Amino acid sequence: MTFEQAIRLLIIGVEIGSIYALVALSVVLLYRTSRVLNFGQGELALLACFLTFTLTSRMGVPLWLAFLAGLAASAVAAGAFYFFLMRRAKAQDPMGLLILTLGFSLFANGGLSLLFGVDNKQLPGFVDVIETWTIGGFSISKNSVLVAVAGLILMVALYLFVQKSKIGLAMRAVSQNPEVAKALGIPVNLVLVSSWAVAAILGSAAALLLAPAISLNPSIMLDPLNKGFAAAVVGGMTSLPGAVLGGYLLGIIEAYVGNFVPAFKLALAFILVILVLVFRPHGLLGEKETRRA
Amino acid sequence: MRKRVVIGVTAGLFAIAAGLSGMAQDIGVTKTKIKIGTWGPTSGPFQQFGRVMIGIEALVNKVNREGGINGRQIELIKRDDGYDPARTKLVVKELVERQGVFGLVGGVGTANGAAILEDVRLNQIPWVSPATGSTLFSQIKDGKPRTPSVFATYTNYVIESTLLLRYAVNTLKFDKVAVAYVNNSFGKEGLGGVKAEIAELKGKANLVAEVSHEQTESNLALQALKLKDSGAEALVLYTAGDAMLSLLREMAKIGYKPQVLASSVVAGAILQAGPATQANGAIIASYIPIPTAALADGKNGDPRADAAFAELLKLAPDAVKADPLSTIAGWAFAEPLIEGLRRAGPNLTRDNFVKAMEGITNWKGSLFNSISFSPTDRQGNNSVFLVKGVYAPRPGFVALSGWVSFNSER
Repeated sequence: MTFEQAIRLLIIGVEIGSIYALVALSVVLLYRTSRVLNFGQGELALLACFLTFTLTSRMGVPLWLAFLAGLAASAVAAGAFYFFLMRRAKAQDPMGLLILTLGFSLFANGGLSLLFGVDNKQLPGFVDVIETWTIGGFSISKNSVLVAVAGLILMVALYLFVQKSKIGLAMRAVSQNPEVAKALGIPVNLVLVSSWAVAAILGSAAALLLAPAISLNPSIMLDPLNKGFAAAVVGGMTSLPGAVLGGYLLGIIEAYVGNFVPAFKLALAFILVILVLVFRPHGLLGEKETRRA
Repeated sequence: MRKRVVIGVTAGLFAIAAGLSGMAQDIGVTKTKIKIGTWGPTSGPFQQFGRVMIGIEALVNKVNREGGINGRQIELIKRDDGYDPARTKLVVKELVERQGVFGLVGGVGTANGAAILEDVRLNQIPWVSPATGSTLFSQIKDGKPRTPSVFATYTNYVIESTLLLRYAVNTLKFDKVAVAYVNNSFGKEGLGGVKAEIAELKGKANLVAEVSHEQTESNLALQALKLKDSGAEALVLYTAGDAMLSLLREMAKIGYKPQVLASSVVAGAILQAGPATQANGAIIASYIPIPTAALADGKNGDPRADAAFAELLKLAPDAVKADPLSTIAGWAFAEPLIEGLRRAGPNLTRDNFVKAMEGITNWKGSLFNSISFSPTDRQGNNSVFLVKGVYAPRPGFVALSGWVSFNSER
């Protein structure tokens, strides 16, 4: 492998790794506060994409405004899903809730297909997905840079939100012990609704960054979601930095391994998951979990 | 008393049976009606493939309006299988056993068709034009068709990829060729055709890379890089959907600009990749001629395709405008069925029909170039029509060649 090839593979890995990291962050954020994996994450992200597409391509709304509206819509939908369904579900065990999100995912995917159709649509991006910059002899696509930078900004924003804001502090409290948090007067429901909303925003941002480079249809989130779950497990289900690490690690390893053994590329994420679960079940940066009584 | 009733009923049944055999009609055929079944996805993520059924229905409507076939109207029964082979098995079982169809036409998807092929073979159900280019549906074993009641019309992927390669090497004079394919039967048959033809061409061309991806992969950045490193001047594409669009865009990102040659399967979608990609100028093998509506200059389309297009517009204007080529393909798929039913005459049985279909040789009455079957051949069409994808004056195609056939000179 030449040096040039190695750098190109790294660029590919970082670009796709940013997407995995964002999805992994949304998975971890939700898991930390509500101990639930949300299979409907992909559909919430698709809602944002389809809405953004409709607003900008069909109604002429400026892209940035449509983008924000898409994010807001998926946040509201996620909050509402938690508030009206998850919270009220009689089956409050993890399995029951998991199945509920699976049902929501299937239902929402059908609904989105019905509303927006299944044909490929071209979601406009902030930059032309094909244009490149030449830096130090390497041509790097503007879109790759945008995805990596936007990903980083979102990750830093999330860090500040969780570490510095009051609601972030409350989220951490709820994630440590919901009963005690409730007893201390923390509005647990509000905290949970917000973590569902923020998780949806992260997932949707990943989809909105990804879709212009491929095409928009109701099945584009399948692969990123699988990989995002895998990255979350690798990094540690309870650790936000772990999710970021897991995402980038998976993206980069996938690029190098995929280059030599293409057939192995898809299985790779799950082989990493198996290795992590066997040798380090709490993930690379996660804390060992002690079961609550 | 009871004995007499039994004898009476038995005699009656014999009389009815005798009457039926005198009329020589088969399952799904009455004096006034022929029941034909078809299926494809009209729900789920692949529902656009189901548009083939619009074309089939439009032709059936036209035939019925013009008086039907030998006094019989065709009743077309459509079913949605969601592109899921397990459901295909169920819906076709329902078509055959409950609806009692005489035969099948179209039917989208290789895996879907494969799921019912054995049932079709065992029950000898006539099936014209499986809507897939897999060679599975026209196989010959010991000099005989493996599935005698199946008549394939779609130019199969092996023939199609061979013809694309010949054009790249003989006409465009490229000698470094690469193949990008999806790891399923569609992709592998395309790869197989290219490889076999490279061997036949003995040193005139080299296969410098074969790059694959899995069906679920949608980011093909790595594959683009490999293709670029191979230095191939011509790239034969046997991939489809999101993956194909991703590959073309990733190639553009890294400045790799080979001549792209692609299967008919992507004709409806390739131009979505955008004018800055190699979709611009890509050569596509089409098994049906192009209507004016899909031509870049909007002029001088194939008159027969235009006539079909006009009929299609009456039935489902939105879907037809969105995807003229798949809908017209359905029309073409149904044409040999209609011809076979006509030739089988008023005594329509499955046996008569199969014999009539076997008798079709060099028939030019359809949108296909020429259809020929025989007792030892079930691949009715071996031609493609090469077109080039362009974006000006509007996204569409320009004709490159007339018909090219597999049996022509290398």
